[in-house]
Amino acid sequence: MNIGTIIKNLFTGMWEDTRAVSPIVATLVLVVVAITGAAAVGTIMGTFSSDVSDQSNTGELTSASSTEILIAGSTTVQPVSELLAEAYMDEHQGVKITVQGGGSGAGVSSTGLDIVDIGAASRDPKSEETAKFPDIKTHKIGGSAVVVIVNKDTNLINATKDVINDAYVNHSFGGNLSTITKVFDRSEASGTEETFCKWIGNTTFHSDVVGKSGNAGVLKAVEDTKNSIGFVDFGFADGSDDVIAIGLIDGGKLYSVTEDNIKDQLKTDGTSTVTYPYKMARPLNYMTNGEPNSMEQAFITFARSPGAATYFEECGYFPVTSIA
Amino acid sequence: MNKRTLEGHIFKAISYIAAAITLLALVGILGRITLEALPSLSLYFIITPESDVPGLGGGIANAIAGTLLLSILSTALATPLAVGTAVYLKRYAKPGILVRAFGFLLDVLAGTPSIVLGIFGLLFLVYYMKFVTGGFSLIAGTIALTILILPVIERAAEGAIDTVPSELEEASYALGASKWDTVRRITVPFALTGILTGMVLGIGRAAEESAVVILTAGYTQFMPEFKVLPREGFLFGMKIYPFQDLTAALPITVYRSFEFPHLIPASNGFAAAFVLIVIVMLINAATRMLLWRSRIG
Repeated sequence: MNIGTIIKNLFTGMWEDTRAVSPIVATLVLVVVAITGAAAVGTIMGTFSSDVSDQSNTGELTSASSTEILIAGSTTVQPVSELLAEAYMDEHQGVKITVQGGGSGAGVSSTGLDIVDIGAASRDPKSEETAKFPDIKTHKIGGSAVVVIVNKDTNLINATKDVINDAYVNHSFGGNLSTITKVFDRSEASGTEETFCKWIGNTTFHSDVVGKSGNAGVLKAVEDTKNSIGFVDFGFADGSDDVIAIGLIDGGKLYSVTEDNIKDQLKTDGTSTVTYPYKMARPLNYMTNGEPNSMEQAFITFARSPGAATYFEECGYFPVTSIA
Repeated sequence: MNKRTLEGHIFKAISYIAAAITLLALVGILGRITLEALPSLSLYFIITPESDVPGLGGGIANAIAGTLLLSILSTALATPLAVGTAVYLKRYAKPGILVRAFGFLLDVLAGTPSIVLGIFGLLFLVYYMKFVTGGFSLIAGTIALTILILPVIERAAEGAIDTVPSELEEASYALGASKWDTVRRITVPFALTGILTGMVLGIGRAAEESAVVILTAGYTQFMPEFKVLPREGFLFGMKIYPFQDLTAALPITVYRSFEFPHLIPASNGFAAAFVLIVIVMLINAATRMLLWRSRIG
């Protein structure tokens, strides 16, 4: 037998040997090996990383991918969350914060189900919600209030809720609003408009009400249009000299729009009117299921820090430092 | 002109008008989307993930990558299941009450509103199976989308298998081929054009789906990453990217521009919609080209 044949037989033998094992058995063996391997790698890496984190003293952070935070919930809080997340990630390399919407209700329930790390809500959890998810911890990060604004040439200083409701729903102007001719609202779904609707008790506006985009759009429209009325988050009205944030007469009492009044109202639990109609003011909350871990705590602390105030003001909200 | 010719002309005109309206609607929608998209449409916008741009919007690379992963993976997972089911029902199972019941159940699955599958995915895949799927993740999104498009591909495959001429299969048996040989070399290749149509429909359905995706894959501003990191509480103590990570999708990007019109320019949403249409068309063309050569008949 020459060498060529021997080599050929060797390879043929290998081929036949592999066929000696049934493909099913081979697959099963492969699966077992793969699972064992994966488990081993996982354990080794887990051990390794907890060593490292013990050394770097990051408390309960035992794994590298815990440096991820998922925030979901209120669309009112979402813009602030995005700004906060960007600023925080700039300062903390390797941290990844993802921000999602969904609404306040989704924020509460997904926090309770533990499928997000931090939930966001532009209200306090309701009693049914706390009964269902008793572990939820609320962290107030700020507050917001909606104010009614008029063009400064109208010389208006206050109006009753019914008259404002009439202007929006029937486009008819009585009482103090008799000089008003133009009404603005938001062209898109917004937390601001929802809050305003809750206060006047109507969600459908007259077809002559003109929609403008964003708080900034409504503010600009009221500034530029004589005898006009609109509503914005307080932070936007506060910076403008061309509009007047009018006092609101609700239940026979006048609540004038001052920063102190709104802050005082935001300091309450938000279930009754003290210095400003409670339906027009709302807290901005972060929530965690149980105590936050150190990563979450660090981010919440950042959101509550004086340095983060500018991101709230950019959205027209109050940072917690100014209302606590 | 007699009455019957007149009738013929009238119905011919009606069908012309119907075709014209359909075509006009399509051209109108595509044209409008393209026009509105132009201000945002740039190479930078397409290859930059949202996380690299300050504020909201500004880039859709994360959503493009997510949509590609979701639609291709779910179609790849659904196709073998769908074709297998179709071959079983049409070639192996004995026709009877069970087969008809199975067909009926598949129709029920096909008619299930996507939001129902989304809620199922949220509860079962995202919540109960969190240690396997990693919560909102590519795996959860892929599995939910697979369930969604499975009946679409299965129905198309069944229809395609029905068109296989019985003479061809009988000739195969006459040559001594086994049932498996016949299915592999005659039935499936002949039905491939129909199966392809099903896959193309499936990809389109998966790429355009928003309700299921937002409830199972979530949304992220970041590009998908390819790595493995240790993570407590997950299967084997590790998190496998991108499968157990959040995934973005173009329909969600479109919706976000509607949700935050004061923070994201409307043209961003239209540009995302435009890219979505282009991607679905490209995937369709690529699938056809790849599998076209294997067909017979």
